[in-house]
Amino acid sequence: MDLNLFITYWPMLLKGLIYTLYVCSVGIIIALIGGLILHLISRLKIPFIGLLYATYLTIFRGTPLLVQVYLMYYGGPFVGVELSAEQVGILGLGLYGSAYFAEIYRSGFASIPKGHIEAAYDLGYSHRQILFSIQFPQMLGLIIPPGINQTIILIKESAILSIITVPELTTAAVTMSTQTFSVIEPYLFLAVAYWAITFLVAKIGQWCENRATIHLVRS
Amino acid sequence: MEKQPHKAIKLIDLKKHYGDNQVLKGINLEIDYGQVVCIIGGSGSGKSTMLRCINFLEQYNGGEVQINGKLLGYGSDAQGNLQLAPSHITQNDLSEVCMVFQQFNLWPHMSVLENVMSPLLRVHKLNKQAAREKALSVLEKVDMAHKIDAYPGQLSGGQQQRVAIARSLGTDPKIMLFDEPTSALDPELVGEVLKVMKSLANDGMTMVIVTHEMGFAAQVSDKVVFLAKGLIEEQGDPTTLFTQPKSDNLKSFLSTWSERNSGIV
Amino acid sequence: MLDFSVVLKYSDSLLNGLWTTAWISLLSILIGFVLGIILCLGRLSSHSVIQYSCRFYISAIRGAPLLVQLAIVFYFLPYWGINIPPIAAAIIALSLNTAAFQAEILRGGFQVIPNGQKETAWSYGYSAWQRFRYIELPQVLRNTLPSLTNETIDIIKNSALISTIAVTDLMRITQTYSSTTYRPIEFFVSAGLLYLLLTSCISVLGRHLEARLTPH
Repeated sequence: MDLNLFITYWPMLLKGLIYTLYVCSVGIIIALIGGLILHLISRLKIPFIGLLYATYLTIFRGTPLLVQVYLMYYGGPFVGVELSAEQVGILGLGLYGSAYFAEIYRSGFASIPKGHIEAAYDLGYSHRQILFSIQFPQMLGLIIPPGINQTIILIKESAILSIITVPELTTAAVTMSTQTFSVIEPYLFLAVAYWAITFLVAKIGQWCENRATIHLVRS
Repeated sequence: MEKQPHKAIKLIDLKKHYGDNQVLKGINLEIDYGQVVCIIGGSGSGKSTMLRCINFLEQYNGGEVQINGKLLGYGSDAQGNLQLAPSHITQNDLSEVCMVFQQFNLWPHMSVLENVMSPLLRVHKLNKQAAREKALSVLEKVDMAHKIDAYPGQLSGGQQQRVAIARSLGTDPKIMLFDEPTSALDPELVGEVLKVMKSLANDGMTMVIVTHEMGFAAQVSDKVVFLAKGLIEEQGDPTTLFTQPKSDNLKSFLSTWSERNSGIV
Repeated sequence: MLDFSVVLKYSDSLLNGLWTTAWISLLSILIGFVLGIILCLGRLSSHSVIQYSCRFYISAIRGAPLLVQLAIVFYFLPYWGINIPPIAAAIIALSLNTAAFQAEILRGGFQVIPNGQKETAWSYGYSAWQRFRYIELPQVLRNTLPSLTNETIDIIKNSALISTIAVTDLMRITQTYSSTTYRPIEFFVSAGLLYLLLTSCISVLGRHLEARLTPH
């Protein structure tokens, strides 16, 4: 172990770390919104909507993220869609993640007790009011644990983006490795750094969950 | 019944505590072979804990539990100090003791027949044919022979409990312990389980039953033991105990019970 | 214009790659399952050193990307003078990775078995091994089958990463031909479909097994 390497390389690694956080944040926000839109669309009473939804889920959940990213990055230009590595990375995480979040929303809504909705109908709530004032707040509490879990998975998957040269954390460490001919330091650093990020996200998740449960108990 | 040299179960100053919570404060009780003993008492009186100590599901902290004259769960080391006995020795000492649980505890991944056969195959090393015959005969006894291929999840509580009793019977126990066997059942299913237990009692099985079914206790038991706050407060034959209770605790326990059961018509 | 006939010309190679992906993933899943059971029992052990080492391993593996773990196995072993072919490195990395995930899945399965069932087994005279083998394991397998199926699918998908350490799996072969033929869309779409075929087979198989193991 030569810790002196880090004295030279920490600015680069820090930049990579920030880049990873940036790409993941934007990607995951897209996935959260995309997943919700997907879920709401799937509830519309339009013919074949269920089939379309299932197809989207099967394609994005049944194939490797790497294939999806490659297809966009290398295949895009052939059909006139030219995206930068960074754009592909963010969009890739977003589309991939939304397929998973859609199902998380679905099970979140599904676990709301039927009686709550029936009671709201009884009290004369409209469809929209039920969605926004009864189902939504409860669902948000219920999806925190699986949502955080999925967020952690996406953060780890984002390491894949180094393969298409997005200048994120893994890319920075690989560059450090090739420039210094060292392997142990950069890769152990990577393992620890990702572990720290996911640990932190998990802790934040626990905190949110506790807050959400307190709120549910009080109301 | 032939004369046995030892008591079936003997409890000498039995004590059990969880941390600071003294649950059993010194129980002395003797049960003969062939006797049916019902244990009654309010919640928290220690009656279930006592039963679980007799089956060593709980390690007791003081006194002795003797099964057929042999100290249960502990043995002396070379220096003569009491030590926890190895699990298989304790299990061996308990080979003629069987417990029927409040929650039935049938294994959900096995059919009725497999549930009854499993201990016979795994522990008693019977061959498949013999185990099957044995299982069928005990299932016949509890009137469940028509459901051998069903899984526990498909049965009513009463049926599950009868299968659990059959599973115990299969291992030829001399002593059967029942831990509130009908408490988890819907009221209309209690009768079928009590009927099976009554026939066991008539066959001369040694039974220790923790129960809230006072009518049943009065009918079948040779002795009723009333526990309060970790001690035996009163014991005796059911007629005397139920009609002429001496202690205030038992009087109030019995009057609460009869009020609840006479109901509001 | 899209022209999938180009893919057909290389279909033998692609199917070879699919086969490599399939057997490496499934072998890793099996090795990972055995390691996972051991890890899970260690994690549930009351021996604190064993318990905490298993906890540490599980947490460390689950917290870092597979790509990084793959690189660590691939680069560290030669660094310590151990030279193994890329395929072996891939299998080692995938197995060590999935072991941690399967251990957690199995732990969940063990913990939901009611205590009363274990007590019953004890009071019938089952030894600890018999209880594990006949009472707990069958239920754990049945209850965790959906999660284990998902984990298998994840490993198949994640195995695409072994292309980065020069294993000629489906991904690697697809990359090679897509760049030599300048037909990335055709090749990556085909690769996607082949992965989909494999993962769908696993999920159908999983559901079939589940139906067979669930008696009611």
